[in-house]
Amino acid sequence: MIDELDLLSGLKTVEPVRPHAFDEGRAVLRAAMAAQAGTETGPARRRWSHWDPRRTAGFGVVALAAAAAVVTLVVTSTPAPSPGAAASGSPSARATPAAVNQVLAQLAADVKVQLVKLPGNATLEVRNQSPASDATGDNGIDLYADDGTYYWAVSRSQLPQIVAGHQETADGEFQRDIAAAVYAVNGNLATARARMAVANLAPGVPSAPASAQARQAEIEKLKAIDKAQHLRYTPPKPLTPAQKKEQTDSFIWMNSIDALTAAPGNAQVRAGVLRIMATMPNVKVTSTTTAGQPTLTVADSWPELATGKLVESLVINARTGFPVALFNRDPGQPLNVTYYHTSRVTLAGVAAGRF
Amino acid sequence: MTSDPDDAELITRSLGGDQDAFVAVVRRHEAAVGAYLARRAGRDRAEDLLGEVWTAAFTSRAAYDRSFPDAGPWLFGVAHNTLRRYWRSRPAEDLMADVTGLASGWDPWTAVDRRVDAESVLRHALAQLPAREREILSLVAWEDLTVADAGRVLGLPPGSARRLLHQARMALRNAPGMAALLADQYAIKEAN
Repeated sequence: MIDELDLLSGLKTVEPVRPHAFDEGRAVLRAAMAAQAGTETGPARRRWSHWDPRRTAGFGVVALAAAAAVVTLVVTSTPAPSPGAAASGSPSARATPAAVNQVLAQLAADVKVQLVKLPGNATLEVRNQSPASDATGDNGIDLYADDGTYYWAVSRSQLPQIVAGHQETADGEFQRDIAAAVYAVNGNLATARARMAVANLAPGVPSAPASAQARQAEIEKLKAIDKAQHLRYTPPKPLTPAQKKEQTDSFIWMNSIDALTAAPGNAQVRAGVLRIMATMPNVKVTSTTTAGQPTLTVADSWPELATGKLVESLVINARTGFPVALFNRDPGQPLNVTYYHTSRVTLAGVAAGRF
Repeated sequence: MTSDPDDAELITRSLGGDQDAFVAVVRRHEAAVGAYLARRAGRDRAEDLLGEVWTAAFTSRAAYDRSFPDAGPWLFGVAHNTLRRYWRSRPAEDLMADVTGLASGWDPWTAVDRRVDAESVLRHALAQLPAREREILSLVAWEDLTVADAGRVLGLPPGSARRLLHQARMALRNAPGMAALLADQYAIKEAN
């Protein structure tokens, strides 16, 4: 017998909230917590909005324990002067640093000629806080097709339905990240940086109004937080030239990491990303070992942040450039840790539940 | 072997200054609360409102009744109040649009023309119900809450919640077009 509740259940299905919104919601909560605790982090949360929330994960004791899996060795490398790296033209071109990190540049050159064709047509990726286990956690499971399409599911069991239903998540963002990285392999570095800086923005959408809307949305959120805390809202101060430069740099950094994690199996993408990262002005490279494999820890930092220096470290395989882990620490916050566990699959196989 | 702390314990820890404990509660329930918001306000608004829900919950956590180990219904209640504040801030014409748009997004009815008609009848019937009756029906049917937990969301004791649900079911069942719709759906089920 069918009753009215059965009929109502038929209306239950809804377009799901996207994973980045959960991260943003927690970021708003964190900001409110910090405000309540008396540690004002206004500029930090504004800066936080520029960070790709997909890459935030884990905290506290678990994160610190996981971070210990990276064993630091002794070799460090910072950008060396390279006058030829600068180019003229766009503002981004002027922002191109006149230095190249030799370790990353050499790895980019090595990776560029790695022509091994990997099986499958997509990369399955689990992001969690364990260097050894690929068990899914709070971040769910990602599937990046080689053509740049992206699928996300909360669990392995849900993924086949998502893929079979062509429920893509990224709206083409990763195609643009990947294209910018591939261009960077042999292209003009200033142009590559400029393309990578805006790769997260959809084409055809003017960046300035979109940014204004995004800023307004962020302001409304901050107002809501301040109201909840019975605080008077104070508009953010305009960025200094140095902060603007760092902001562009952070866009390039995070979009490069997106390209790397979206297409780790593509040697050209890895080479392009490494070539771009080699020119990042604050990048430092340290030889490390992670879960038994030789790795490089590529740390970038943004010291102009008003509330304190922000540091993010990408750990990559020392020979292939494959992404291994990501660490970041927001000023005044615990360390965030993400380990990447990847495997090659076919889309058809995943849709059929064979993976 | 130790089991994971329940929500009540995590909220207690957060009151002691452990912020991560409250974030852990949020992580546990964010998918369900996100879906709750999306069914009532659409995905985009739901995404905008999530941070407000968590902030409001964090601010009011001292009032949480820690005799309940599961904070889910409480968080639905916070989301419910956040939505009410949101709707109050909207023009009246927006309210009508949102009532008829309940649970829109992926349309489960488009595959069969007959179902389009059924959806229309059902949405219209829902829209005619008083807000509280509509809410308790949707909490039970969409969020899979027990009647008692749905009552917690709405601030009702279990007995009152059961009465309200019964009243809502009767009102929905007797709404224009619903009798024919139920008979029709039953016939389809029998035929299959």
